[in-house]
Amino acid sequence: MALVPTLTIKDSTTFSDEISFSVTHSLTTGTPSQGLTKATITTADNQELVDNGVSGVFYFYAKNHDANNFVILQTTASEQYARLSPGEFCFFPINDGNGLEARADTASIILEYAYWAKG
Amino acid sequence: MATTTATVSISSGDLNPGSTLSINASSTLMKTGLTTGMELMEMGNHTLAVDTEKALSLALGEVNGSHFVYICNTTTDDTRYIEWGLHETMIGNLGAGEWMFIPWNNAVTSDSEVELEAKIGAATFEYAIFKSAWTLPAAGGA
Repeated sequence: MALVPTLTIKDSTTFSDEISFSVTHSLTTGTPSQGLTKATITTADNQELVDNGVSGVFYFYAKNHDANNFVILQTTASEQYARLSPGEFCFFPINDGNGLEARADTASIILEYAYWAKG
Repeated sequence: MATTTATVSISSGDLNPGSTLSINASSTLMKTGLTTGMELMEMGNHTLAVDTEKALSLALGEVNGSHFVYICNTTTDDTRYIEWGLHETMIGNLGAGEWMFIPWNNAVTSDSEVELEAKIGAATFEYAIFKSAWTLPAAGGA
């Protein structure tokens, strides 16, 4: 199975030279995968989205659908490494053993996410 | 006001039964809160020797700041990969040709560097960092 992620970044106002680049790469995926999912992430506890006990490398995508509040992403050992502000997204690989947890900070948020195992 | 936008599209013709997968998400990169206007961008290309670790540094004192990092492993040898991590914790492997984009952040320390290490063989990568603020280092004195 093939997955084709493409990233485009543009900025025409910060510098005298316009920033505009795009990168794409076709990925071979296997199992397991988690299709697009929306979940309510609360402030009460760390919510595990990727089980650290499942072997494999996973490509992880997430988008914060809240209009006002951010969400923290961290390993299941609580090492924080990302903070998704309202409307922001991320796409990155994570290894088995790390898992992935989300935790809302100020109020519950709706997180859209999906992940696919590297094939 | 400076406005930097990032867009991701993820597609697949054979992942979902009976339909194609087509994810599209776009966002304006924001400082902490809802303010736009990233103030510093740094781009570069580097080659990592095998088993050599390098860091993409944060400005000191920016705990819980807003920073975005794009990294692409531009190596063409698909046996080689780059381990990426944060603050001494390895997070994942970036294979040949693969890219990642993440709002990088650590809540507990200003020493929250993104760390990269080539595995199997030397690996080249390109990167871009967007920071919400940048504090120039103090002068060493005359």
